[in-house]
Amino acid sequence: MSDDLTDFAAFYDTTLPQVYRYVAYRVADTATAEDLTAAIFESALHGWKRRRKPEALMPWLFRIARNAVISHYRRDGHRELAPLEAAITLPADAEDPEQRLLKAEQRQRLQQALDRLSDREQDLIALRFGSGLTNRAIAPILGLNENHVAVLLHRALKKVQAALAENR
Amino acid sequence: MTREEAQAQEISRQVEALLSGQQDAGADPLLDTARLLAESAPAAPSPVFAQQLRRRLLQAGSALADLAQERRPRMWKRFAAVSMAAMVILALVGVLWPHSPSAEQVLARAAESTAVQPGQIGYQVYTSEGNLYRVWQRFELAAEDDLMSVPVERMMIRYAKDDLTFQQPLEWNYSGPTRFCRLTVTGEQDPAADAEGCRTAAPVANPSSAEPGYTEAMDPTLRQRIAEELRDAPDAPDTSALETIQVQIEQLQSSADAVSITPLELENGRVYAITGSQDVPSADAETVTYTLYVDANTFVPTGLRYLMKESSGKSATWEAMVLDYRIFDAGELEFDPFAWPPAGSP
Repeated sequence: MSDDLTDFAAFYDTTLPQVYRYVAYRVADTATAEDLTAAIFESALHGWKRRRKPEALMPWLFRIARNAVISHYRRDGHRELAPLEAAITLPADAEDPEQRLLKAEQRQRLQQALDRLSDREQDLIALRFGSGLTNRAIAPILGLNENHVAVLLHRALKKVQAALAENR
Repeated sequence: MTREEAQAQEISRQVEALLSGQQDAGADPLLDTARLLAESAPAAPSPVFAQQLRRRLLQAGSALADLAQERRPRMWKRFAAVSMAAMVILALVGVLWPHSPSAEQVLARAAESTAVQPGQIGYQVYTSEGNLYRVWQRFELAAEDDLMSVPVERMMIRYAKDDLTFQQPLEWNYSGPTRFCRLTVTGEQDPAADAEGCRTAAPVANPSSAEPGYTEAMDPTLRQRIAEELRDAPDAPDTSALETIQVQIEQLQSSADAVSITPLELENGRVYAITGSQDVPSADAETVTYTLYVDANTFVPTGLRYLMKESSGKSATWEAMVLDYRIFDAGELEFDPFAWPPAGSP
């Protein structure tokens, strides 16, 4: 295996969980998340030869990921809420049916609240709480500075909180 | 640092503590929302998926490397020929275009020429899809972003493509923070609209999204539904070319390393054609190529071509040609371009 490919494999191992969890936070189902994640890394592989500074790799990869999600919605229309029955099957931990139903309802309410955010705010939430990236890591992905990311996060949290309170 | 920035820094610090597993991350009520968002995070990818994708990528990577290896001997011969051709072209370009700027420079100038300050009104005339459009837009500051101007009020009038003196409007569309209106010359009307062709909605009660002049004052779900219904209507209004152009300038700027610039001599003068391809990976390997035409003297965008190709061979093209583009301060206009119903409408 060439050095290039070895480097790419290491990059894949490190970044797959973060990219997948960002995508899964933004789309409705696991199958779509897997398809998009595969397409994102295929695209990254094709662009891998063009050398980038190490600090530019993550922003570059996540820009591909954001474009993939945008393209998905452009082609398939807006996010469809996962039906309640499907949501009920989502929690993997063994809980009693009532707990699982409550959790599924809570998840659906949260999804409705998230749908009221702008695309950029949804991206921010997915990068912070899905991928677990810090504000500093998110800043170059969204083309903002770190302080601006903090302000947007604060506002997005307030909007989600207000939407959840309305739906209660 | 403003009060909001200080609060934002504090909640960010508490979120960081929460995500790193600290039990006593903080007491801010927003932290409950953050906790809910963290608990709803999807699980990691399944090991089976991760392994299969890894294997597939490495196979594809090896195949690409083999292909490059095969091509290498031929590459030297080609390299010499291509180098000669490139030198000739560069020499010609150097003579004809002694001061050709880079794509980055042209994009920066194009962004400046289309920048609109809050309170200003943008006017544009453009052709697209066999129609001629005149669009007035009033801009305000976005509530969510202190640095960005967003259109909050828009009047779009559609004409036949050859009606360059604007004699016979075919359709009027108005959209504002709480009202969407549409009238057509044929009298066709949205059944859910009032006598003036308008649908109205009350602003959302949520105070955080009811900041002055911002489009989110309307319930976003309702706004989206109305916009979709209008878009799907027969003779639906087109996307505003200027807004699309501003988005494309940003896209091209963010991928400047993959952008090419070509100077062109067209009927109406010299332009720079800036072409970029967007990474839009998907299951059907869709690619999007867009070309932005920028006037070489004024740096005002004069056209946009947007080509989408799918692996199935299908392609879709969207083109807009900008004929006029101006920015006014609100006080400069002696009439209200957003008055509804508009003069001359049925």
